[in-house]
Amino acid sequence: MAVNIGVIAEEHNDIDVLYQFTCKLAPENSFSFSTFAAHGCGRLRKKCRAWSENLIQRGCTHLVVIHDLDDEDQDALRAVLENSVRDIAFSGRIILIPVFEIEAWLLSDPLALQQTFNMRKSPKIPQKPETIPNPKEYLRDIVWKYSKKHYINTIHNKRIASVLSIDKVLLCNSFAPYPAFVSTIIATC
Amino acid sequence: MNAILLLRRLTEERPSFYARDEVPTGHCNLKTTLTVDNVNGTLWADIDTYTDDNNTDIVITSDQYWHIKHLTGNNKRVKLPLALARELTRLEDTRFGYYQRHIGVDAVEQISRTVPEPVRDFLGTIARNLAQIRYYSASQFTNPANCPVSFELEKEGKITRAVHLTGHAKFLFDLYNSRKYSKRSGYDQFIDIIGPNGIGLVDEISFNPISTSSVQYSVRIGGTVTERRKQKILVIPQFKIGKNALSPNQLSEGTFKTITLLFYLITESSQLLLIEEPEVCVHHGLLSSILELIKTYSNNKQIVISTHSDFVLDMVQPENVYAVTNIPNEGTKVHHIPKRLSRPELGALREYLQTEGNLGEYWRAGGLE
Repeated sequence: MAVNIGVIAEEHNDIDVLYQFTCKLAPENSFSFSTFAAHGCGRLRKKCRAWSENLIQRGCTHLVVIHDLDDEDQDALRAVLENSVRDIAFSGRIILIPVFEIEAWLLSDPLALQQTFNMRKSPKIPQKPETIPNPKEYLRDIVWKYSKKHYINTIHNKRIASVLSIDKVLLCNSFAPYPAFVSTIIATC
Repeated sequence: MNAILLLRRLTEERPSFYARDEVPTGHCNLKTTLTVDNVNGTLWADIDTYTDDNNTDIVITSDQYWHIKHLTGNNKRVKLPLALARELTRLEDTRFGYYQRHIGVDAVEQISRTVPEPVRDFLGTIARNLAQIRYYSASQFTNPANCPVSFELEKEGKITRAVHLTGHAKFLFDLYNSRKYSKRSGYDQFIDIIGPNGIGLVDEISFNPISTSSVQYSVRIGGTVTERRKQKILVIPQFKIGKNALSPNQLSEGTFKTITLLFYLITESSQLLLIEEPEVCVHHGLLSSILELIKTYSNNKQIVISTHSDFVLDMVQPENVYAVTNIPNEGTKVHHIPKRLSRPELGALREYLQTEGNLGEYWRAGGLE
């Protein structure tokens, strides 16, 4: 039976990216997503608990929360999010905190960008994409530079994620714990 | 939006020697500061307007004064209409403006020499930029059923039926023209964005040209009849969505409006684009993409959007928001949000956005009042 994973994120396209990555980590039809997109970090924090309770009612057994770190202290942010979902009865949960934006994960595989945007050559990208301060703008600029096409995160994030090599994303520390989390879920189902 | 558009109308103002019969229906005192290369100029304008049958405000008369201390070195105001300023710096142009036509190129050149060069260049730059302001409103493209299914061109490429096309027909003609010069016009980018590689609104747009001809007869004095054959092209546009090839009037309202908005957003070369309520008839998923595109293009040109949507507010920073309020007996006031709020209020807003919610719901709950 498919595991129902609850996902709470700031934007819909963050959820789309995570879905594509999960497809690469788990067998087909072994999971489904139930989701909430907050359209901003403040609302995510405020609603995290209520939405988590709702996800339990919708049959979710596991929870993923994605929240950008931006300029905050990682431990403090993690503690706030942990506190809001601590006593809710999920079998497992994980909080992923991209350093600036989730687009840094997409920058980890230049070949995926080349394939998505039909670039003539693979773009040059720093080895540690999570050190790029504004990955969304960086991605937009690099797509324009190499393909003369406009990057629209709401459309293209999902497409990049679908062709991206999951091994490359593991270079991003904020994503690294996720494959083990998915393995645990699949092992228990 | 109307106040900003009024600045463009000032550049199109007919001088007083072109008498107008219209009775003013509106009066406006406008004060605005414009910046060119870090030099500020403040315009005071006393304007009488007339609203024509198309609901467009036309400037009948105006008094315009400029305060440009940085260039003039004093506090004295310079009296120079924008319409004239526009002509002072395009004397080489072959297309004459009202002033050049009426008082002659030499006279305009003479006036030009009396205005110090930096002031002339400054106001000329402002006038040219204001003249290029473009306005997009979803209401211009409402009800696609009104859209023609074809349009006619002369062999030379000019439209035959009307000089001034508006609304749906103008859009089709602009689209066709833009396609002819696709690399330069941005048409390729437009197709890439609305097509399957982008937001996937349509798969393909095609134009099927059919050559036709008509005969025109004229009778001269003495009864001689002459016959003139005119070659025309009937252009039939088609929008392919999946397996269906649709005429423009078969598109849904939201699809038609989004296509037109994105077409003008991408292909319009003006440096200031005004967009009225992009949220109309569009679901939130598509609206997110439209707003992301507007943000992208705002790197190349200034874009002002008006909205009544809290969803749109959710997607922008408070620094980019101006609140428009109608105050009885005072008129419409526009305030920059960070300046309108006191320091504690602004702090409270930032705290709210960080920990509680979004700008849209803050506004809905009265937090920006």
